[in-house]
Amino acid sequence: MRLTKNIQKYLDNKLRGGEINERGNKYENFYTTYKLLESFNNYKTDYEQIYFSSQENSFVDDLVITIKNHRHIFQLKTSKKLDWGLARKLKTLNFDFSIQSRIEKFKKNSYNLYLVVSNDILKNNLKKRLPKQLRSSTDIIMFPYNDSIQNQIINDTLFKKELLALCAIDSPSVDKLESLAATILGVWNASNKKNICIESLYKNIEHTGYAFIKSREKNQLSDEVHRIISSIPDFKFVVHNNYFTWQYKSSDSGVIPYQLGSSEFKIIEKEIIKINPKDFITLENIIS
Amino acid sequence: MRIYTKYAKNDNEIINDFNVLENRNSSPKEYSEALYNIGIKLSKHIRNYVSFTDNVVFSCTNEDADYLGKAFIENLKQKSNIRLAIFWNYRTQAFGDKDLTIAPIVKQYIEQIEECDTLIICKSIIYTSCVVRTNLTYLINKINPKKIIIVAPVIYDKAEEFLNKEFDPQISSKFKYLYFAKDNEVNAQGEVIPGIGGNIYNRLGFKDGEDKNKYIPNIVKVRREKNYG
Repeated sequence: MRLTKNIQKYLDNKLRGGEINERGNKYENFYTTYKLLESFNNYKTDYEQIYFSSQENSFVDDLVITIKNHRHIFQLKTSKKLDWGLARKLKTLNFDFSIQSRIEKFKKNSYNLYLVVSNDILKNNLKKRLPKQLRSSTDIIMFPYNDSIQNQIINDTLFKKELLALCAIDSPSVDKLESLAATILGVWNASNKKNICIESLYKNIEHTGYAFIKSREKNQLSDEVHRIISSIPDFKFVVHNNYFTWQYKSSDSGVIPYQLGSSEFKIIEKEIIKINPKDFITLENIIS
Repeated sequence: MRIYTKYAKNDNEIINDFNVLENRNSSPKEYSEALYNIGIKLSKHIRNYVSFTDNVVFSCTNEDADYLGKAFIENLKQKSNIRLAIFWNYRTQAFGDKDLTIAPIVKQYIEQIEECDTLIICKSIIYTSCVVRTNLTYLINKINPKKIIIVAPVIYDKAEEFLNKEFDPQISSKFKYLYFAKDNEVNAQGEVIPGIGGNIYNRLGFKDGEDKNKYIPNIVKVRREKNYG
């Protein structure tokens, strides 16, 4: 079947729209992950007072973070060209931000608005042209766009820095950081994204295997397990942030992907006590 | 639909081995032998990509090591010993999110590597490329190979595109691909069809990903004993 020019144009736009949507979704997902990481790292004793929401059915609502009753309201844009437009003209950034600002003031909320864009030149231009009535409440932020979590980790030093601060493993390889970031995003995606307290998110991540997040629990290896594995020749191990990592000679290394104290880790401990391995070959089958 | 590459389409032995993989009634032993045979054929064709004097690192996952890995190690003769890097990945969906596939490394066996001219990274099938991408990223950071050859009996139609996109062009420009078949269909279980006849863990007799991670390949046991005493 041959498509007419108009239908072909419609199809091209539709496909392009799909790509733009996908790009927008990834951008929102990775930025939310970044803000969760930042909140987990910066407010260690205040998780109960921090709430995340998305799509509140308002004019600026891609992400709303409430920290101790102060609302941080974000709009995210991956477009390469953007301008503020006129405050009285529908569908402009100026309109959306101005009306959102009025709503927040009307509700007597303590708040800030943020426009998040994916390149520095655009950020600077938008900052220079920030409408006067928004200057006291609005800021523009640059967050780089990457099309995968792995690339966000490799290319975005701030994203990586936050992950490193939260990861339980010392000098982690990218796969551990990716697991942690993906689990944070997975837990967020599984919530209804409406006023979610980050305490509940952290708790869920802590109880997920292969998350490699710093635990607030500090468990010890049982004395007996410690004694058994300490006597295995050429085998070294470290318990750090509730995770068990190990090395055998210079060739083998690994991590048990479940935290000490978890039911999965307890099964491994029981097995070690039951089998009482005297060499790495025997232990390897238990800890793999 | 499947397309065989120039290396495979006129080779009845390769086609027969693919038939064994695709046949769900093949036993784990028959299945693993077919993988080994395909590995031998791949190791012959890789000569076009690897110079005899190259320092070669061969990498694969633990479930592939005794079949594809062994075939390469036995048949690819180099001036210097080939070094082995084996990974135990756990492929899963982060918190059950189907869009967040991850494959963290829980264990690795890596022989002493001073220099790497060519890294050969082999996988029984490359689809989303999650495992290959994870292990490749690890090795690129650790050994900075000059050339990278990505090898598989079969790959999904868009696998090269997926994998190249995950790396900076400076890195992906080092990639060369060698495979025997390209498939463009995926079933409801997320398996490439005909691919390698379904889930390799089950076909090799493992219960699941955690069960397969208990498996220590014989090639690792032998080389560890030989190299590290």
